[in-house]
Amino acid sequence: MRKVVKLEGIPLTEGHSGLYLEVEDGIVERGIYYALVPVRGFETLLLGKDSRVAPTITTRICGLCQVTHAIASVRAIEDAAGIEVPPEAEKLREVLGLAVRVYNNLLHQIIISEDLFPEKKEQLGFIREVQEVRKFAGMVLETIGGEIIHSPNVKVGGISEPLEEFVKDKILCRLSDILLKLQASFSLFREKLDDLWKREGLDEEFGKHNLSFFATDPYYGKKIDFERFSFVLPQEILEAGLKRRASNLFPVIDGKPFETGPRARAVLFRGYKPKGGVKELHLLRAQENLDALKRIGEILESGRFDGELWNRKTPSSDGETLGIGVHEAPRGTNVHAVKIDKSGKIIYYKIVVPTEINFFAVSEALRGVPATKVEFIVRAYDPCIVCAAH
Amino acid sequence: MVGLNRRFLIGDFRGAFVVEGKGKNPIESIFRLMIKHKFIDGLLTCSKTGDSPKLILKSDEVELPSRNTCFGVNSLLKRAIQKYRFSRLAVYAPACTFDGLNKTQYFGIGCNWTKTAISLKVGFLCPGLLTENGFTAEVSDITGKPGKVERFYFDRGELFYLLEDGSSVKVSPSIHHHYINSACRYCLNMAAKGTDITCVSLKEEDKVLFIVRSERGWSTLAHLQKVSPGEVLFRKADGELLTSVENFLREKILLNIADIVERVELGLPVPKWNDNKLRKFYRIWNSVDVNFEEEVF
Amino acid sequence: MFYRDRLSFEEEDFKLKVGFLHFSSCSGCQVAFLDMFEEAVEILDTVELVYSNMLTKRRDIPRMDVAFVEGALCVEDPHHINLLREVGKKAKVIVAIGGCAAFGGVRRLSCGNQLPQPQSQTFVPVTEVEFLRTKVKYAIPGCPPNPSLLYSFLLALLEVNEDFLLPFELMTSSTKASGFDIISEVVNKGFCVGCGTCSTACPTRAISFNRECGKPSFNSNLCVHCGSCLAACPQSFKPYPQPVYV
Repeated sequence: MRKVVKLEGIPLTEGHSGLYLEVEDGIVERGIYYALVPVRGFETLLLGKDSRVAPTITTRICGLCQVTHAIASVRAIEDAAGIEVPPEAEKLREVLGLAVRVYNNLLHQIIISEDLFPEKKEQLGFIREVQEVRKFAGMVLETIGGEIIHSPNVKVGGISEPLEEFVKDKILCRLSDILLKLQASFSLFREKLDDLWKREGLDEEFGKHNLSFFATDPYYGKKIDFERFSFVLPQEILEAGLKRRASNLFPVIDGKPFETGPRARAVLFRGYKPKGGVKELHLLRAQENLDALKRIGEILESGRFDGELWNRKTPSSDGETLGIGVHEAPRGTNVHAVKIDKSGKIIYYKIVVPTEINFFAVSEALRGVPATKVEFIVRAYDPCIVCAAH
Repeated sequence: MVGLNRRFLIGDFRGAFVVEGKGKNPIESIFRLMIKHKFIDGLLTCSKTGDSPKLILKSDEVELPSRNTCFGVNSLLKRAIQKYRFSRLAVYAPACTFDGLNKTQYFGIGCNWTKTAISLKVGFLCPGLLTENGFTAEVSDITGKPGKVERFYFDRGELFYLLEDGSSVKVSPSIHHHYINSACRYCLNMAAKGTDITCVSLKEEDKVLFIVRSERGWSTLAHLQKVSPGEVLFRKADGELLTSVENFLREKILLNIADIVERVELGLPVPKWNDNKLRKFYRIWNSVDVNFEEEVF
Repeated sequence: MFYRDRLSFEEEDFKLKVGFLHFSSCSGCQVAFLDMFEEAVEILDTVELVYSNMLTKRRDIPRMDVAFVEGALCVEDPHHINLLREVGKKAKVIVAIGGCAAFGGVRRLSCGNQLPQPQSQTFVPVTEVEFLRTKVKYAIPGCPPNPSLLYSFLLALLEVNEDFLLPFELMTSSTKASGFDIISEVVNKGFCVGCGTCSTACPTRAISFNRECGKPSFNSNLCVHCGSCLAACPQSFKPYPQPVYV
């Protein structure tokens, strides 16, 4: 029997989102995933503002992966205005990006912990362990970025405050300890994930799709050609009631849908052979935490960051050059594109966030799974709906 | 009615001492020792001239503001606590800075986890803050020509400035009241009541009156004497000295109260959310049976 | 404190039912709760978290004692209108948490005209909604509020510490608070002592310190209207009675 199921609000995910499912005998034939959080208009509210304000405002797109928007934004403006950034500042930005990756991926583990731990006592114990590592990531964000959420130190032209050696040492001396803690919680996470898959009767290939992967760098982000993006409007593919409510665009790259995120980075840069299915997505995301922490240590040990890290040149451009800023956010490739005029005012702003790219990936992964289990697919992608409806 | 007694003017304290630093400023010596013996990991205060906030990390860099000017100390709180991650911070500033700091500690507003990061609060008795231009105008008013103020001190219940040329100038409260920062004209806490220790600078540069208020202030000083005896000498302050400080405060606070009363009677605006603190004081000032100790102004 | 009325005679069993609701915002305020780190776990253990789309599996909004509401209401969004009615019905007390819910925050800048729903342009902080006027009891400033503020606030809520809560109650009646207030309400009115607390409280570093004058200097471009500065200013309100830390 064929029927249409519309779900609104997916528990244990960020924000308010929905699923449109065409179900045949309990199995999803076609599914579309979309955001239902109202559009806040970050692309239009920035128009006419001084470009130096952009990171302060764009970081407030998201409270989970805050600094990634600030980084993508400043990189786009620097690209448009041709501002050189001290290499140490770029490294510190990379550290901030990696810290937020750990901070945010672990938040995702906390969010889905109710799935993993049927016992509340065990769940709280797990959260307590994870929180210790998040606290460390928060400390990195706070010392280098200025605040845990919405870092004010990421500025156009660099980082506004140097990192003194003794502060750096405070971070480094705790790193190995935290790595051990993270490894322990990773093993527990893996074990409980296996249990969940068994309990729910899911197989290893649950949520497999055939899409290609998109990522620009394992850690930081490399410039891409913005022309490759085109956007499908929800009005084009959704039915009447949803047309007027879905608040995200569906970006496609070279006309095709892609998956971005931890698996894409593993496949493209670490030679990982994907098994398909969403379980590995959880594991690869958790693996990225370990890699990120090690990389933070490497970067901080590689040099000194206590000099001037900020090129205070006033941004100015011809109004034609499209500046592109790319950052590999926890959930995938985050792209900001900007045009600024001679006085440094923003005259064009466009944001493509990883969750938007993944909407089609989630939709593809839904094909062929039992309609009762669709939420596990959505949760595996760790969607950030507020980012998507920026 | 508020009685302008010692309890209102100076506040509660455990003991008062005249502290001698053997030729050096004893407060500076004490902070130096505290950093050296790792009692504290940083000292938050102002530069010697008082115009820029400073975070001191090394014992040989300790230098405290010597004039009654000390602005913006709290603007470095986030750097000290959120960036440098200090957990045993000492602060040396006037009362108003501690109003901000106590509030940050109590509510948690402003800077993250300040409550657990401060280990000693040392306030100085402040007759009212001045900017650099304020000093120039005030000194010109008194002496007839501009002069640079080196330090301020109290002697026999009077406020004095030591000028750069070595001369001392007596500053009358009424002239001082004219030139100080506006907010200081409504101040009712010149003796820094919310602190562990209040310092009063005296005529001799190496002598300071310590008014020790809290158990923490008391035990810190005791501990310090134990680890390095003889660096600074403590002598119990005589009643006369405290009375003279009290007399100065009474004279100055009457001017402040007159301003508050005038402001309330004219219905001049008060800031948002403050629950009308000036009007509250006005009511108490004019009523007979209110227990003022529980009020905060 | 009316959420305690019904159970006042069996205090022992009382577990505060708390929910998080989310209007148009970045979720950062809810994350800031978790940024209390270990303390967050204690609090999750102490109160009963009955609703949060991030942390519970519930789809419908149950009755609750305290609803923490973050974000501004988008008038064009039918879901928000429903949510508004629901929370008005289901919550006994509403706490507007964070700049967006309390004072408009960065939502004050929104102007709509963005695909795919260009009509989304009206954003109203919950403190401005007349329908919730009697329910919105407290407003917490900040973008996001400090975890330590949220911790102290929750403790005060559990202990019913009215002295602590009073200023947050006063804040609900002012629907705007930004760096401009530091200038107009404090500096202009002759109450600025130059302590620099506003400058350190500003989450975007929009307030720097003018050393010559000993006063804050405000860059309105960077202000996100979160109210942190005015809330931190010792002249806006003071702890009462004066706290003593020894």
